[in-house]
Amino acid sequence: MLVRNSKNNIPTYTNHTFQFRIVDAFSYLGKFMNGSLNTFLIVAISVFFVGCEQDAEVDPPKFVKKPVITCLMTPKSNFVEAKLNYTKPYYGVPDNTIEHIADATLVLEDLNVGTKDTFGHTGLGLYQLLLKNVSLVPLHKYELRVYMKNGQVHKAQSTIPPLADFSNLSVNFATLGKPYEETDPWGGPTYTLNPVTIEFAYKGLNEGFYVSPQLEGAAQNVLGQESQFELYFNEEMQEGEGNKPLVFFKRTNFYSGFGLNGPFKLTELRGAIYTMDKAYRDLYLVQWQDDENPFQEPILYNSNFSEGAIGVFGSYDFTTGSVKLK
Amino acid sequence: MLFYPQIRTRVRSFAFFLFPTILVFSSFQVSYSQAEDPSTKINSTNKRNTVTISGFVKDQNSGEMLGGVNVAVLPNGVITATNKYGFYSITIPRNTTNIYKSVVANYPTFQMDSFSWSGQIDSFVNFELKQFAKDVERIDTVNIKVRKTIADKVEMSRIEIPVNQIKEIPALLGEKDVLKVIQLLPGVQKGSEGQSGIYVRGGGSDQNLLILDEAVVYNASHLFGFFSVFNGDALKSVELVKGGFPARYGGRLSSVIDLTMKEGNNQRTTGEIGIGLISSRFLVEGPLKKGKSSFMISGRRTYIDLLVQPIIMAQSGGNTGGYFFYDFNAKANYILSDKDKLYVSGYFGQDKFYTGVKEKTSRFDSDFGWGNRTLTARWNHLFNPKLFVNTSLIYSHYNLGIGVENYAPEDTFLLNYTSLITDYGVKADFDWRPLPGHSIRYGFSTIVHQFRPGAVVVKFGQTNALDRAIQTITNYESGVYIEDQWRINKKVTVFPGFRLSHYLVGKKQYLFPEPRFSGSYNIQKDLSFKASYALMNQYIHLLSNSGISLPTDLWVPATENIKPMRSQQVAAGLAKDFKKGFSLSLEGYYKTMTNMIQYRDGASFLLDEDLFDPQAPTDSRSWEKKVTAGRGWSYGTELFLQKQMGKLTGWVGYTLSWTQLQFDELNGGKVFNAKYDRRHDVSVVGIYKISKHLTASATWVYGTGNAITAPQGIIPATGHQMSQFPFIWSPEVQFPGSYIDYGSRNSFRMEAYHRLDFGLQFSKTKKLGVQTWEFSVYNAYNRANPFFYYGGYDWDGPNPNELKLKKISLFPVIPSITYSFKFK
Repeated sequence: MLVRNSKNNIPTYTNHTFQFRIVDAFSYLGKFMNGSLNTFLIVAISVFFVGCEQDAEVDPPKFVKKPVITCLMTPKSNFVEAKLNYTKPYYGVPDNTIEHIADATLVLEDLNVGTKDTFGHTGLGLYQLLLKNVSLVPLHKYELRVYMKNGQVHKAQSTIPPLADFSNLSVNFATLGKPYEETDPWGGPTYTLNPVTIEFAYKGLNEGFYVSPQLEGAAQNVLGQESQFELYFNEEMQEGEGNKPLVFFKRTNFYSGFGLNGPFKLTELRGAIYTMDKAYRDLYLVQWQDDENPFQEPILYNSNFSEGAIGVFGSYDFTTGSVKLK
Repeated sequence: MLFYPQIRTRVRSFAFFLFPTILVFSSFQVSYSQAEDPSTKINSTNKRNTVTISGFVKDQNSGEMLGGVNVAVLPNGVITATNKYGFYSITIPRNTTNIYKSVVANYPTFQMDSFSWSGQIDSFVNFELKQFAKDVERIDTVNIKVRKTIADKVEMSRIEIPVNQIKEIPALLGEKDVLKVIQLLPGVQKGSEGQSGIYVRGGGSDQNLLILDEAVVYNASHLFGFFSVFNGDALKSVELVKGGFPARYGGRLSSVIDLTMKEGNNQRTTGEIGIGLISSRFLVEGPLKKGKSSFMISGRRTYIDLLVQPIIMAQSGGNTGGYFFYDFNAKANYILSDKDKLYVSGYFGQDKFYTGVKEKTSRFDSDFGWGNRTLTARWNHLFNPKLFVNTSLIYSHYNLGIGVENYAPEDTFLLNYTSLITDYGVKADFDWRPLPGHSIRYGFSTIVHQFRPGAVVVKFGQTNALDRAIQTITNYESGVYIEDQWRINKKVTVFPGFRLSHYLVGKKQYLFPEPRFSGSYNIQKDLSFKASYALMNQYIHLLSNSGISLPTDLWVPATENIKPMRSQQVAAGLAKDFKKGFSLSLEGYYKTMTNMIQYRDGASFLLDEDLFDPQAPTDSRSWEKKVTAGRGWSYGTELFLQKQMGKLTGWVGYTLSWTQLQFDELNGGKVFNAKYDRRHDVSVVGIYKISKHLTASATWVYGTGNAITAPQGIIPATGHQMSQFPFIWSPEVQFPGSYIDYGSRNSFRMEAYHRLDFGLQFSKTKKLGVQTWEFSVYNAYNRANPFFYYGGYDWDGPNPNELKLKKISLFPVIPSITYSFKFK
């Protein structure tokens, strides 16, 4: 489950109305239950046995330096970039320096047609390949081979995802609820909240690829004035299941008042639909590694490179468009 | 309102169980019409070629029925054991000679009893066994022919734990704990330091069926698992089954821990009190009507909060705070007739943390607690000397609650969170001994589970309130079974069984056959080879993070999307009896588990965050999206050397095992070690009776360190620039500071765990009863066993910026003293 949106979703700017306070309360409790409660429980245990608790240093896992290779491709770009460096010890005195790998040879090959080309090193472990001999084509499989100076060869493969198509997106329902007003108990202004419930489905994506619609909704009043609202979904990335629809559902609110008044009518969804392969999706998720809470499930960095290298060779694409709401 | 398909589904489900039930009861009618009235002795004029001797075995002193008593007919050498209600029945070929047979009943710590029997007529005989006086040396030379030894038993992977022995084993803070003793058995591993959670043969802590008088106990922990909810004073028997499961058990993959409460003394009123460092306890039992009915009540409560409360209040100006747990067991039974007995028993327990902060014009109170309640009503009926039935009505309830209340003139805030499971069940178990060598059991059970994973009430001020009652998920778990323990000849005994398990949730039904088999072959009189196979299904899961098990772990049911867990286990081994009460078993096992669930990477929340989003639908199923399913397997060897007689008793257990898991969405789909994969696990338990007043005991345990996921390196920033597209929520891999390289999941081992405990019990007979002082030392050589690891700094050290891996250890050497008094 992707957690980015929920992490960013604490409405810190909304402390002025009762409704917002409920949201805050739930968010707080959610947060409390998520991590803090566990921490609280452990602290409570520790406090209970405070006379017993002992703290001691132990031998950490043995550090093995590994090459790190990151290469993310998109047909939207006319070049491919790869970055090479080494892992650093986790324990010990922090070291901000990065040991780049500047003497490797990188080759990208389109396994479907056999074309290949070699990257050039531009400095600081950054390698670039202008897409002349090799083209990035949807559903073509590519292999990145990294020849290290010590003779080691690290390989990974990635398939360019199919470009998303807005015609594969169908809106199951999009409804506006009854607006209601909230007054800031501290004497602030009155807002109008307009509840929106939207469900839509995306189909036609093959297994092994992931889709992530990133949309905003628009509503217009009789004067043609528009209010927008962001739609971010609990299931932000879903794996394709062929013609089986992948369902995205959201309830949200948009605000009106201050000269932008209803009644409103939902007009369209617009934005981008991203598609990506599993390696790209895994790297996206690993951004939410959080080592502050010792009781969080760790997010492992999944490497798709061979021979002991750690890294990701992935690809993604996106298309922009809109869907009119009836 | 139910829609037609739902009604049809439920009718179908009902019919599924109605049919076998009718069938079963039809057979009773037939049986009953042919039955003779059981009485003290029954004469029969039937011309059958077989005769049956049956009856009950009870404790002469207390009148309690004794389960597991060996009853033998000699010289035929036919041995059976009483069921947990004390019933036995042996059918043998009719005696055509004038030589009388001996019928012998034998039970550990009780004097053997016997009588002569012609073997020509059906007879009904009750045994009343007399317990050895505590100061009388045990007789070690019990006739092997009437003692069902480990080599004689067809069941494998099954251990009966003597309740008296539990009281003699040293324990943390003197709190005697059944589950901690079970942790000392081979094949059973504990979780973290001091925890009472158990992991059997690679299974998770949720894969153990804990039943107290037939009722499921969902959370068996007090004080975050440092103590279990089972009060040893109130228990009559404890049995652990970790493989070769009889067909009468279902619903869990890895083990069954079957606990039975004491019935109560129906001869005289007696009792026991105990005073420990953190809690005190009492037990009272006695007759309601002498020889006919009895009661037992037992309770326990911690009192740390009561002791420290005045100090907290004095130092904080009236604030309160503390923790307590209590539990209360009660049981009553009534003998309606020789054929009918009624039992009613219940357990009530609660843990609670609470705080209260008082200001001049405001007050803030919070509490956090969890508890179990069970209630069981049972009816034993003897249809005829060969057919016994127990019918049970069962209620079980588990709740977890969090409350926060803030009262202030301008800002009143109330919040209540509750999570509940309620079970209503009915089951019937028939014990039928129709033919020589056959012991057949069959029956059915059905349980209605009501899960309410979370409900929240929030109230601001005097008027505004939000009540989010999360939908209750109701599902139905049922099973019908039949099993036959068939002694084919003196060398071969088989124990086939079959269970048909059914589960209904919403419109989805699961129907699974579960074959079971155990068999033993006696290579020699005291040496046997055993083998078993069992297929099990489990319809509930415990969502817990991989770090530590907490009371907030959430029980969730199998659903349309989350399939039930399944395991298959094969085991084989040797059992050998030696002289002087020694026995040895050596077992190897291989177990596979499928449809196990775990949180996906990064899910730190134990509860569904949508629950706290007022805009989210009131659907308690969205936890399904946060979990992923996978499989696991475990294999290993267990050695169990036990000595049950003599001055020195105890055991040595050793387990060599491997447990691995594979989830498509965890660890990149690669195989990884389970957290409790433990290569070596050793336990040594010794109890030595120095004199009739003095008993010394010691335990030593060793276990390979837990497998954990620990940071191994830093992956410098990698990623790419955000795309040109302006949406802030675009799923672009950005440049974080760095990533952590954890290596493979659970690829790092914590330090090994080992510990030595000592105990010394002084008993003295007083006018009113027997008093016992117990002195014990936990962790005698002060081993700093790891509780958890974390990355930290030595701020006062020479390198305050150096990140180090550190461990927290909880318990150093802890001495304790306990006093108990058992009234005569």
